[in-house]
Amino acid sequence: MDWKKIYASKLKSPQEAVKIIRSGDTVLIGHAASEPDLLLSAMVDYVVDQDLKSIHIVQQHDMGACRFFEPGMEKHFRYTSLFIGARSRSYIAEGKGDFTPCFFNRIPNYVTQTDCADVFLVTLSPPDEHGYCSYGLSCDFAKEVGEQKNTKVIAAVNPNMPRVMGDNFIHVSNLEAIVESNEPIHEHGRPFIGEVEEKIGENIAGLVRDGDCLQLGIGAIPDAVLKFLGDKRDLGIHSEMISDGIIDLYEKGAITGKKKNIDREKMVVTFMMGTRTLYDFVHDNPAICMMPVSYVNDPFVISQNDNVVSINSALQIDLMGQVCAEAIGLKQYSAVGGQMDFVRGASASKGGRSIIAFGSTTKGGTISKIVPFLTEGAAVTTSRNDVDYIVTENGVARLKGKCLRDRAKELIKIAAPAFRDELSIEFEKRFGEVLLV
Amino acid sequence: MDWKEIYLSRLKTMEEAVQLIKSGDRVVIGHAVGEPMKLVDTMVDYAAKADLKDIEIFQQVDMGHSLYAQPGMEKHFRENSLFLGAKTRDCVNSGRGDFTPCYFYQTPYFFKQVKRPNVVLVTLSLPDEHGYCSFGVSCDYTKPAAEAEGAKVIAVVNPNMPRTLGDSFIHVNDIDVIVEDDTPIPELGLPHIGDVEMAIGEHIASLVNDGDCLQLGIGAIPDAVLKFLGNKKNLGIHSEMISDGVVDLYEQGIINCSAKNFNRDKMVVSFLMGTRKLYDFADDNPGLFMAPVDYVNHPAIIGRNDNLVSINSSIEVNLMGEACSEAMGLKQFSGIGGQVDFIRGASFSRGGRSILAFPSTAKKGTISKIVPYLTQGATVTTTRNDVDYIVTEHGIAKMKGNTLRERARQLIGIAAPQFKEELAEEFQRRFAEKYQEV
Repeated sequence: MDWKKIYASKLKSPQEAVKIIRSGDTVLIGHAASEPDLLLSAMVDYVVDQDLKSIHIVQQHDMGACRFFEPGMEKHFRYTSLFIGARSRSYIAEGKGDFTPCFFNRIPNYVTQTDCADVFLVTLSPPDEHGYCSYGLSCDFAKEVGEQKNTKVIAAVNPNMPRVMGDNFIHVSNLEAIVESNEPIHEHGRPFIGEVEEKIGENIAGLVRDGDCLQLGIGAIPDAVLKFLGDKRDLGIHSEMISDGIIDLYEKGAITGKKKNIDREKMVVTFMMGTRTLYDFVHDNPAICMMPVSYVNDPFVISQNDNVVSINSALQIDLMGQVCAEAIGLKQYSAVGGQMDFVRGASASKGGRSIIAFGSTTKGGTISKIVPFLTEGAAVTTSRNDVDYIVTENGVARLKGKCLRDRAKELIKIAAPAFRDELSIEFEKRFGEVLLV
Repeated sequence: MDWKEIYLSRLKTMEEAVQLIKSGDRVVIGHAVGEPMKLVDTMVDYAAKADLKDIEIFQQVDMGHSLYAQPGMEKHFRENSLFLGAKTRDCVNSGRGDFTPCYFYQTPYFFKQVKRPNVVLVTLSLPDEHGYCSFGVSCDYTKPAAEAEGAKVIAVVNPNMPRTLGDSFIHVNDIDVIVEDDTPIPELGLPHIGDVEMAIGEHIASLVNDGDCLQLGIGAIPDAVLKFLGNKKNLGIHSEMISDGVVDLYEQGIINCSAKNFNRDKMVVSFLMGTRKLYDFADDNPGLFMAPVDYVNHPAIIGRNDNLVSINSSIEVNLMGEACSEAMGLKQFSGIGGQVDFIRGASFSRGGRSILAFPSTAKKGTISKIVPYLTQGATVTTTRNDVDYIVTEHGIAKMKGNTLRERARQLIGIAAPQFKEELAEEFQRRFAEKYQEV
């Protein structure tokens, strides 16, 4: 089979490629950095021009222009988010779009069970000498979706998309249409690490030991943690995602993966987001092993490694230990993502620990994130039965195995000092005991 | 020394046995109807007379007198419950005692690694010819706690305790103190099944297919479901517990576990609660495999069964599908038990489904159990990411894979008619769309 002939036969302009889309189709978009702006724009133009109807857009973590949110577009499109992003947040809060709660590790199952990808629009790296394109920065649900018989994959083949190793490839013969693109890949800037994040990072690093297998995400807190791990040895990575912060630690030699039980000496991830520096680092790098999210985020798989340390964040936590990491009251902010996958995996891992870390206040110190009750309407992301360590800049609280009284005590200790009195009043109401803070 | 000699050497009276317990000890009491009630009462007497202090009591589903939880007893005892019962509720909610959230399948780990008991009080069956006693009706956390490092086992050996088979035995050599007693094993009355429960049972039964593997508990709803399964074939059981209703279906040949792909021909269970009929059925019956709850309730183990149908209940469900199944506001009512163990197991099971079923109202129709927001302080037992089917007497609502809008729509569809208007108003507020009944 001459894959180059196949490639040429499928090569189209964006305008031609999107003509496959029909009224009533469900169009799934590549996750996060793999969102193909060029194709999405062409799709919107085509759908409007042809007055197509009921195109159902399904997306996880929008990063692009989202032209299908513009006024008037509801004539042609409806939208379901699996993880809210910058533009979808208010669109959905206003009731114009929808949100479906789903554990990240179950999203491939959701897509295949609801038969929801007639068309899949995604960015791929250019074909190698064997005709394989890489899913690049977003393996996650893409790999399994691309394998579905009834899904037509329209790919923006883009030399800026790194070729990332792992179970992360699709052959050109399995693509429906190919468009060539040169647009920059979506980046996520390095976060600013302030004093609070530094302190949190230090507190978390105090819980990490040589040989641990880490899961951490993107943002100031994970980056702050990484800064404090420079003197650790033989750390491993089995994480939903990694970002730029990992590179320094890897180059210092602190991450070797030698103590992992599975996928030894590889950094196992299911997607990535960061800057061009990260994308260049991972390009053609066998130290990285991208696997589908149904593998990487499977709590059972995660637990196969010993000493798994999972690090995530939250928006609010109540005195029982119920964590909301995705909403402010009824306003959906993001989604559960992989938090619970890793909290559960860490709990089942021999020596495993899960950590949920955040600054103890928000809005310039005027609102406490440790509260008696979650804001009305806020979904519970991590339940009180799952929660393990909570870390703020004020210290570390271990909740697992503790009764409600002791949990509340520990949480009040790490709350911001300005709020400890009112939390103590609630403590006394609940437990009939005066708390001295 | 042969085991019979060991047995005799460890045999004591109840009063002598409890003197093993000291101030500051952690005592775990056998689960539910496996509680050695007289022994527990004797312990309370002794602790009060000897003025012992700081005895931490761990019990779930207390069925006895629970005198250690009475007002005043906090001088000697600290109750720490993982699942409250009628007599321990007040102790915890008044602040005299404590409640610890813990998945039922993690309770063995809790007792083996987190809070190791000094003493474990259990009821066992008579020893067999090899010197093995069976944990009988309560294997669950009871066996694992008895195996915890350093734990001293005080066992009431009781001829009324059925000898259940499975991973449910302890050898006389491993029992520190033996007491003989023949108090009947506590029985539970059969629940009253009204019209509402019948309607719920019928809806649930429509979700059950031939060859399915069931998890169901105790109460009017599970019993109602069983009434409607009479025309099904080859049903299996992999359940945290079973009660009398399952025995009836087993005797009719409807439950035979022949279609199970894992532990075929056996009902896999962790504890029993029901009447003497159930206990007699369980005695020496290889059709029933009793095992500790970290096996029976482990989501990965549950998930090895295909077509696992898990049936549980809730107190309140909000329009996102979050279910509180254990509290009324801040008042802890029971515990999470195995609900989420089975909901997660069902999600791993090929063809698996999980159902939360309850009447659409409480307090004689004056309170809706489908609500815009859970009562303030009510913990979320089953999260919205885990939840699958919700069933009331009015019908079935599917949550899993559905948007928040669709979930709310379907939940309103199965709410009690008198509450639909206010729920519809909430719907409109949230989704900028007029609610329309499908």
